[in-house]
Amino acid sequence: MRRKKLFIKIMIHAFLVFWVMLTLYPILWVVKISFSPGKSLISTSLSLIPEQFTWANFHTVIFGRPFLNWFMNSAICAAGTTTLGVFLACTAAYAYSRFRFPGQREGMMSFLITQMFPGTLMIIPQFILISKLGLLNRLAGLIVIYSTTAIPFCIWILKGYFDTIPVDLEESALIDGASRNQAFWYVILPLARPAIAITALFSFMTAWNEYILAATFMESELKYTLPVGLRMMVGEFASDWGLFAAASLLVSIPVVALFMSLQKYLVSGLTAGAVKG
Amino acid sequence: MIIEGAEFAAHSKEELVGRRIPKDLYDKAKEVGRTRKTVVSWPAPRTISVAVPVTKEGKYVGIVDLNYKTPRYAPLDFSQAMDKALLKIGSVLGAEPDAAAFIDARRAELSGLVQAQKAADARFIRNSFIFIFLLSMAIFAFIEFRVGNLIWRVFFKHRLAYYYVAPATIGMLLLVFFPILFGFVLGFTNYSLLKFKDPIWTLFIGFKNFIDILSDFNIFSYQNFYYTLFITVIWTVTNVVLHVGIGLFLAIILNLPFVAGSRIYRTLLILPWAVPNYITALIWRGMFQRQFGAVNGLLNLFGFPSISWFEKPFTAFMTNLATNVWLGFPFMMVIALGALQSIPAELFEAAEIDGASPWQKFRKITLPLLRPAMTPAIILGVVWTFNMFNIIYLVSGGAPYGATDILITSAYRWAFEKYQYGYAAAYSTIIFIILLSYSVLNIRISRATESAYGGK
Repeated sequence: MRRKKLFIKIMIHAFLVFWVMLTLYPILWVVKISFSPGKSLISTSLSLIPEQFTWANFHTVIFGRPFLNWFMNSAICAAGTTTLGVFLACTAAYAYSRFRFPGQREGMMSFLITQMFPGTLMIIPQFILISKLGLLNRLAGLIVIYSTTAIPFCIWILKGYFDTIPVDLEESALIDGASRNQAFWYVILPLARPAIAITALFSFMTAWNEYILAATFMESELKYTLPVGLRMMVGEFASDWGLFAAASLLVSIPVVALFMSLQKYLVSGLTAGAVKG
Repeated sequence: MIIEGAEFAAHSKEELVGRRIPKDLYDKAKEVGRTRKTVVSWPAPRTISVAVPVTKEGKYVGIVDLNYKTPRYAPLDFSQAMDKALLKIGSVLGAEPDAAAFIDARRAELSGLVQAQKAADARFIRNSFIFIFLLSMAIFAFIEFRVGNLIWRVFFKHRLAYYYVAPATIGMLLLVFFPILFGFVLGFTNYSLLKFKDPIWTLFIGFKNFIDILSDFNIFSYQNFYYTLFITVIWTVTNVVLHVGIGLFLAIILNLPFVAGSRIYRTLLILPWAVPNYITALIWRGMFQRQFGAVNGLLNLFGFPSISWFEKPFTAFMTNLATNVWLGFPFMMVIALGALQSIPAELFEAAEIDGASPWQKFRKITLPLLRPAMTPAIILGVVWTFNMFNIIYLVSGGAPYGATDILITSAYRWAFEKYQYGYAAAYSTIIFIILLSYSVLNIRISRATESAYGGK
């Protein structure tokens, strides 16, 4: 019996290691290429250790182009989107969770419905609107658009989470003389930390990873965000994979780091509402 | 002087790319300036470089290399790009009198068109706002007439709720719902690059776009709606089944009490979710590259010949599928893990005491309790996969000849590669209706089964 259990254990670990390798291979492949000199992609070897090691690709990416500029733009954009998006989503989700009001069900449904309309086809009207608002070629324009596109998903997650927080907590705060706003700010928000972390993460990722809208709205090269800049760079160097790989790593590292640091909230933040709801 | 090439570049990029330029002309073009083949980058090319053959009285006089910024909001920007391109032709060829005159005339015409277009857009926006305003006033008045000041009382009674909801709602109305509405309206017009100078309300053609799309039954063409729908459904089903299958399987293994280090495995396994998906797509495209791609390298290692992945519909579809499965299983895994962890241990203990086998426990406890968390995740997963633009567009790019395009990439091509905005908008509306009916049906069914299970 014990031997059988040991065997099962080994099989499970073997399977998991295999699956992890499968998962990590593409990422490590990019790491390898980024440290290899320019033309070394011609080798078909599957090895993940570069034959010659060089920092040249990273150097070219960082100093050869307005890369740092793009990086700043993306950072500003992502920070703005996260702040605005989380604020809008938290207030709305709180109302949807705690109040009963006419239009509540319709509102929640309409948020879900927006996820079904092909986003790429909203570009033309959004472009017209943004230019009418005078936000073309400005990071503020992107921030406004990104935070509104991120809202529906965030509201669903947050509402689910708020629903799991007992109403008694606020009620006792209200009885103690706190205002609604205070109860919301000091009682509910701190308790909802996992879900807020998750919505912040998703808003950040929306802004950091978005390409088409940024490419459409930003006109001057210095205003590009990272995906647009990266794409332009890849187009220019056509098949220089070393540069692409180095740039990809530089772009991915901040968002992956953020993701990993918040991942302990993923399970509770995403599913608390759904499981109990 | 005829400027050949530049004219129809507007209508079909493929035609221009496909145009073979004789070698001596190409060499001549090198003298004129930088030459590069057409670079088509994603999604709308930033800069196109084209070698345009210029003819005069039927004879080639040379090639002009044009670098022009491309359609952003195509009607406006394309004309501006053309403007610059034409100017450049003039300067390169030494601006003969007739050429200069032509260019001037063309410039005037184009800037007029741009102004007209801008004005038309502005009017359309304004009129739409007025229309929506009047409509809501009418509805309001109607209700007002029926129920007096009840509305105001309701609003006042719930003012705190509305005050919390207002910021998000205003943002959504302006930047999400209005564009969607605009999209619906556009679907009933034949708005296109060629029509951009006409005010939009002269372009209404009723249901023609929808009829054109839905009544074409030539399913052996890769551009056919039903063919693309078929591919989209296959794409969605295979993806979601694999996402949920792999995710659930991994979650169950990781949740086994005797598996050590499950935290580390979990952390490593959710990495694909964290990587920006356009980067993932470009990486995988590289890995499926015929000569140096890692996938063919692996095949060769086991003695199989290399495959040209993007030349056959089936293999090209597999490249998209592999990429998206890699990208998508961690989400389902995390959801399933959350659901599994929330199942109270007492249930299993009780089942143990009653002598239930592991399979029975899985079948009777785990699966039913996973349902409430997995159902919304699956519905959302279907919607996301159905509209997964980046992967299809960047990995296979629809190759070969649009055989692996799904509905949303098709719609995008109609809008931004063929500049048929009206048609594309109708396409999007159909996508929307399909997804909406799917979700409504699904929610109904899951509600029905939930009550059958005796749940809430």
